[in-house]
Amino acid sequence: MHPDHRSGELPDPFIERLAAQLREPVSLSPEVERVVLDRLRTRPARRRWPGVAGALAAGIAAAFGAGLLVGRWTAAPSAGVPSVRPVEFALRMPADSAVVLVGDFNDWNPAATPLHRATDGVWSVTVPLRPGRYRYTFIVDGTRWHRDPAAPRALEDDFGAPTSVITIAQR
Amino acid sequence: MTASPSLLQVSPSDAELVLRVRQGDLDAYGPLMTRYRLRFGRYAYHLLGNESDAEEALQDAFTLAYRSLDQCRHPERFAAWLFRILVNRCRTTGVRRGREQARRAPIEAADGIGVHHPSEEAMRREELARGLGRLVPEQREAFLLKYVEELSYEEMAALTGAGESALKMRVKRACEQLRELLGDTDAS
Amino acid sequence: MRRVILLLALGLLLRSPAAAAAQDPRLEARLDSATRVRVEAALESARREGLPTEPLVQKALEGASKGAPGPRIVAAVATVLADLRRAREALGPAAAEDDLVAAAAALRAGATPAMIGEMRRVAPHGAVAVPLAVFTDLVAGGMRTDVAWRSVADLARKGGDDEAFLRLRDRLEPAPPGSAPEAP
Repeated sequence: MHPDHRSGELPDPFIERLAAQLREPVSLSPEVERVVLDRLRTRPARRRWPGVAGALAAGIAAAFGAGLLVGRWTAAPSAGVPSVRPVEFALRMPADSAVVLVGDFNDWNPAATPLHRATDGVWSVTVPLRPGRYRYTFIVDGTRWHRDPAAPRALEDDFGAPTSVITIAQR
Repeated sequence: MTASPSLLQVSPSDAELVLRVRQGDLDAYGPLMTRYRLRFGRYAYHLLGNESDAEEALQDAFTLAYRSLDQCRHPERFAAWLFRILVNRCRTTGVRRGREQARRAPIEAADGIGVHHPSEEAMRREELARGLGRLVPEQREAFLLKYVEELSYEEMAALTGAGESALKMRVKRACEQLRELLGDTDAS
Repeated sequence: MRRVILLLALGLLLRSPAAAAAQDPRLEARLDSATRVRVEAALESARREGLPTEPLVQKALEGASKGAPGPRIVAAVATVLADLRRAREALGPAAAEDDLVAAAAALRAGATPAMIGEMRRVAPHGAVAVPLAVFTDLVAGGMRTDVAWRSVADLARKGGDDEAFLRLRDRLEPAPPGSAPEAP
């Protein structure tokens, strides 16, 4: 017998037989979907997702796929430092907005990194980043702080404004 | 947001449907539910022991998932995210009903007239359901996740909040009890 | 007069590199003088103790960007410094900078120094930055601290590499409100 490759446990024929029976299809009412859709139509309580579209986030991740390592965080580059990688930040906002990106990678400078609006209503900018962990956020129209809905929220909120975190992998 | 090669393991259809739902297309949610009704319904049924509770838990999970879809950060992993919701709803449903599992009534003879002789397979299923129902909820949950959903202990730990050691013990005890209840002749 | 000039010149020559570096032009441009002096004092402490300074600078700049009052900026910088000190205590004097930064964030997320120390012992090659970063992200996403810790620590014990931690974090989506797991 070969151990279960996931847990290292030896398979047990009796238990395997039970499990096989339990894996047989169980047919619940096909009305489940209809009941749920009726419920949702009556009380939709959803709004359009204002941030980065899921596909865009997945596309970004797929385009810049890598492993994960928090690399050295230094103020100045030095020999042997991990290479810089382009990372795209994006946010869906109305056309007449002005959106900028601020974070640990640009000294939180609102003038440093404006986003540019694409035709599909998504504002974006690509920033070269070394491996590391960075806090950041978007500023919309100079006054509204908007965290990235596609990114982990930064836990610490020292200044009362929403902030996100990005971790850049090192290959 | 993190650059991640694991996100390359995409299920484009799920991600695409989630995106459409997020953009306001409620009808796109129907196919998503249909895709997972059978598999997740099976889990809910075995955990809760009857169709009614299982359907309720499944409907609640689908509803909650729809209303929280903004928080599904990886739409290509919608299934895993939905299953987590369902596992929790099943726990809530079981607790709310004040019992852990309702047993299906065995087929009974009526004065010898029109006696139904259940098939051997049906009897085996009933016996298994009874045995499963005799497990404490945590053991039943762990057994189903391990052997029916075929999750790793790591995945089970993340799903349930229990430590891997505790989960292994639950699975072990569940197996021992089932063997005892259902008469494991192989063990002799 | 010549003696005064000589003494002044000597003073300039003997001025420590640390003191010179303490005047970060970024802080000079963005903070009022009272706040800058106190932040630079924190930077000086960090340097003396061998702790990374950039996280403190960025915290101060973040506060400036968000229009925070000086005292709040100073308090936030002091908190970061305190977190880094705790991280150093937990990881030991030889801890790498990125490990310290990750440990500081994990401590803020609810990890205890004992957990950090445990991670140092169980993580492959003592590399804690990745597991701690994943832990922090999981907690930030809404996962309970103990649940997140167990997931990460278990994987570390099994020798998970960076890819494995990444996959773990990607798999573990936070549960939406109203569906949190019950206590085990």
